[in-house]
Amino acid sequence: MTEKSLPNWFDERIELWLDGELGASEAALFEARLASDPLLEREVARATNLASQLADLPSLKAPSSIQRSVMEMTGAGWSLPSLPNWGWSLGGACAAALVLMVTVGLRNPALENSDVSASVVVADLPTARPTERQLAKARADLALALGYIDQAGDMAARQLGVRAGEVTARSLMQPHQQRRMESSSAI
Amino acid sequence: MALILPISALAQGLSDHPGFVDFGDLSGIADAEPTIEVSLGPALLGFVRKTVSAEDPELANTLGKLRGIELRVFEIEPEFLADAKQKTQAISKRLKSADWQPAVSVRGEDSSVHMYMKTRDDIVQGMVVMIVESGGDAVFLNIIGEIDPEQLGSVAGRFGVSLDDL
Repeated sequence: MTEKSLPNWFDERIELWLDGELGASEAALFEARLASDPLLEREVARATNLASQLADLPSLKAPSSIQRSVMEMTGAGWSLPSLPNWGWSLGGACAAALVLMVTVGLRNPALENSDVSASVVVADLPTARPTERQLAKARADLALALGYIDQAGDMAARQLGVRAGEVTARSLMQPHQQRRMESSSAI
Repeated sequence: MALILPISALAQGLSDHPGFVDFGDLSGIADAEPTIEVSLGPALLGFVRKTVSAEDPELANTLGKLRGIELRVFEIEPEFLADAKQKTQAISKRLKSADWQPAVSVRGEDSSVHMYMKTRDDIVQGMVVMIVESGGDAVFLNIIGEIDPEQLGSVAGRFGVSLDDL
């Protein structure tokens, strides 16, 4: 019998998820699967372990001649990469590791009564600036979500046979504005 | 199950917010997972606000009061229309009993639109939009936080994104 394999979609996103690079919707799908798929959980644990081992390796400085050759080949000059993105990436990885620990903890009967759930809240809060891609995704998600308010107004207007703006404006008025409008209509 | 928590409003400390709504299990209204799932919490919204603060201070001010956004969109086939409508009716009933005010409630043969707002002292603390359209989408949107509703609807356009683009 062949071993069950992980769908490519999830396999390709393990590293992105660990680095906090997935958008909210993809992260939600990934994490929903992770919560119920032991195979994906094993692969995430393996990747986390590998990242941990790499982090423990001693940092070696390459000879300056090699550094210069590499920079000249890439044409990148000598500027250092910007640190904020690194911070987010590390923050994301730490958060992912913490989430993983919390999950393992919750599945461990010995820890089920411990107060680990509070850590989950901390895990989701980015402490460093998100990458441009994450921000662009967040802006698009926000615009998409709020765009449904307009769609609701349009649909209601079609049903009621009035102009869309009238439905949306009136329905979205503050309660005291609605009361003011009703009282002036009564007059 | 535990891993779903970090990305939801629940884990972002918003479940106690008066504007938060738990839509509950929505799996019965379609035969698949949501086609769109968005969860934005205060931290990420804060970063988005910072990016627009220079170019559009008014928009930044609007966003600054938002605490979270939860969106689930399902593609529904006509055979699931009744289930979807039933689900929105059940949520509507729950919202009304929790003092949410109906702002729009339109029930057509092939579609329905519901908008609710939670207010306190004339300040809107949360908004719920539910749209069900036969052969289209079922949309469940919860906007959490102090909201200026008159401005909110136009925010999408100011990001240069329309639903037709997506």
